Amino acid sequence: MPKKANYVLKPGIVLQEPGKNKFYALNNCPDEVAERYLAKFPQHISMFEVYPTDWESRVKARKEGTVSVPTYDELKAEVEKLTAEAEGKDGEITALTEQVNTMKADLEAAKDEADALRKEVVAATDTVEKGKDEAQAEVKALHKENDELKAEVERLTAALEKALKAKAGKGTKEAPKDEAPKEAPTAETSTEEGK
Amino acid sequence: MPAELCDFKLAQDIGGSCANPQVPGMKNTGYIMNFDDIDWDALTKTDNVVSALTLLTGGKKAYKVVVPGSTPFTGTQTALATSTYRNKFNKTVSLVVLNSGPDVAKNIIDPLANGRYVVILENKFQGTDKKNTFEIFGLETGLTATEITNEKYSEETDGGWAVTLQEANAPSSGIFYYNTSIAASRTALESLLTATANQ
Repeated sequence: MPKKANYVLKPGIVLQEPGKNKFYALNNCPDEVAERYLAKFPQHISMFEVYPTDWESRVKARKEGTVSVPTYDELKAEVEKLTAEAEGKDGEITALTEQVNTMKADLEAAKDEADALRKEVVAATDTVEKGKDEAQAEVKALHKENDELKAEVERLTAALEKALKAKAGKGTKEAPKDEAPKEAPTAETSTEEGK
Repeated sequence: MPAELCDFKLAQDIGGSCANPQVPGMKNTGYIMNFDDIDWDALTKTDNVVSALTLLTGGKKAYKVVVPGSTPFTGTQTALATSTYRNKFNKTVSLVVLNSGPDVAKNIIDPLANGRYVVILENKFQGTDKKNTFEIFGLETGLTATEITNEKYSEETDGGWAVTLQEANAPSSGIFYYNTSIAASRTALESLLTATANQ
């Protein structure tokens, strides 16, 4: 990660050290360049948009040469520390990536389950609909049978009434009392009549 | 300040350089900023050369103006404007906005129509000392719009906007921006495209 600049020049300002052809703008001005320049021209602090609050003491230290330069061991330790931090971050990233992958897999599984349930609901709905249709057809058939039976009952009722009426009509014409009821012809009689 | 009579006497031979002849035209990229955003206290100007130009704090920034083609900013000119006490100059900057739509209308055209601006353009002719490279228009009285048109079948604008800004009655015929070198000047101008801090 790049180090944050301690000295940031204002937009539109370019800093060029006297006698040098390199120039700096915005936040690409190193501390030593800024402090060397301010050591010569402290009034030009107005050229900077951002600067440390202790810039004067820093400039003084730079001017007197008392700015400490880190030793090889210090720099090495710093590099090792930053490397360890970076590796730690890598480990974190790996763990988080695995977590994300697991969550993705869980999500997929949940989606599959939801799809299966949706299919079951559709099948159950179809079954219910089918049962409904069959029940309706059966009811219709029963109604038809009922109507036919009703019609048969009416017909039989009418026939019964008719028969009763006919029987009642015959009963008013009674046969004479001395007349013997006619016997049913026997076999001899019928054969004699037949000769 | 005591009263003075300005000395308008010729101070240089009139002619061109054979090794470095005058050439017409400008480059495709310029810079435009609001006149009121300039930090006038920090402006550093010697004769007709500005060496330091910054903007006020509060998120102020300049904007890039890009006009493609082989003759960008055609119509840009400086012309004498005679006056009673001192002749001045009308400076005209012509640019084309090859874009349109609601954002363009709101963010570019409407502000250009009503604001006041400073424009810095890059001349192809740099001059023997390179100080002619970046020319500033509008630094003295500000550029304001005198014409803005959008013609749907215009071949000059491809249906975009033609904008003419003018600085009227500017005392100087030319003001230039130069900070130690062309590269440093260009870097400084590019840095103006970054907004200032909100303080």
